[in-house]
Amino acid sequence: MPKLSDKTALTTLADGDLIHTVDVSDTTSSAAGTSKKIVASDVKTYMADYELIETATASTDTSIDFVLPSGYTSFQVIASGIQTTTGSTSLYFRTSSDGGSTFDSTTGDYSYTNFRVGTTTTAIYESATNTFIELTRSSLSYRHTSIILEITNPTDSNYTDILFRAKWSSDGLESLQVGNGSGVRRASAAINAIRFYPSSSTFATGTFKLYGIK
Amino acid sequence: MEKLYKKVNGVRIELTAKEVEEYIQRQIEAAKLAAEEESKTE
Repeated sequence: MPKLSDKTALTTLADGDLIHTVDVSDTTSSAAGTSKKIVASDVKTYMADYELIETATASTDTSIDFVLPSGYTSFQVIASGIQTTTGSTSLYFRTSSDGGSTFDSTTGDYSYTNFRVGTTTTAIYESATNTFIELTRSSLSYRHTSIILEITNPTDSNYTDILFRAKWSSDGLESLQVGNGSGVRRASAAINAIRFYPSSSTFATGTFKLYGIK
Repeated sequence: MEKLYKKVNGVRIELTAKEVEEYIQRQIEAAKLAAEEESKTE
């Protein structure tokens, strides 16, 4: 058998390429382990610290929900191209501790603060006890929205932290707002599902991508 | 009334009767808020 250094070198891997490995838990061949093969795609999964978990494309949906899988320390959602069916719509966020069967919606479940700068207005919105976290607020026909939201400690038995930033603009794009905020789920419970939904109407378009960070 | 849907992990699911009720309540509350906002600006 040729030495490893004598073999032809590869500089890139395809998902189906094979890699030689030693399974140290299998002592069938020797006390040191047993030689086996593994495909590159499985190595990629093992190595990934930041990976795309799910993509949801909105089309006349009342909400976009994600069940959060275990094995991640943080999650990030990047949502772009969001439009609701009608204007004058804010965007809200909720959490669940039962895998999305129910979403926390009691007064006092959430606190949030949101600093917003617009082309015509600047404001700070906050709520110490609410039934949701307000990500954007629209009293006009603002509905072209992008959001980046992060959940830094979903399995923490203390309050769950939520950080977000958002951009939304009016139908004619003549007015623009940017928001930067944070919120907490005010309960000593891990969360394992999340929901984005408009204050009225439905999502018409938008792509929501859920990423996990190990 | 047209059927209403939510999306869970990218899969479209029809709302339950309870969820439809919650959705309708949300529309009513949003309409009230919008009316209040409008009266403030008049």
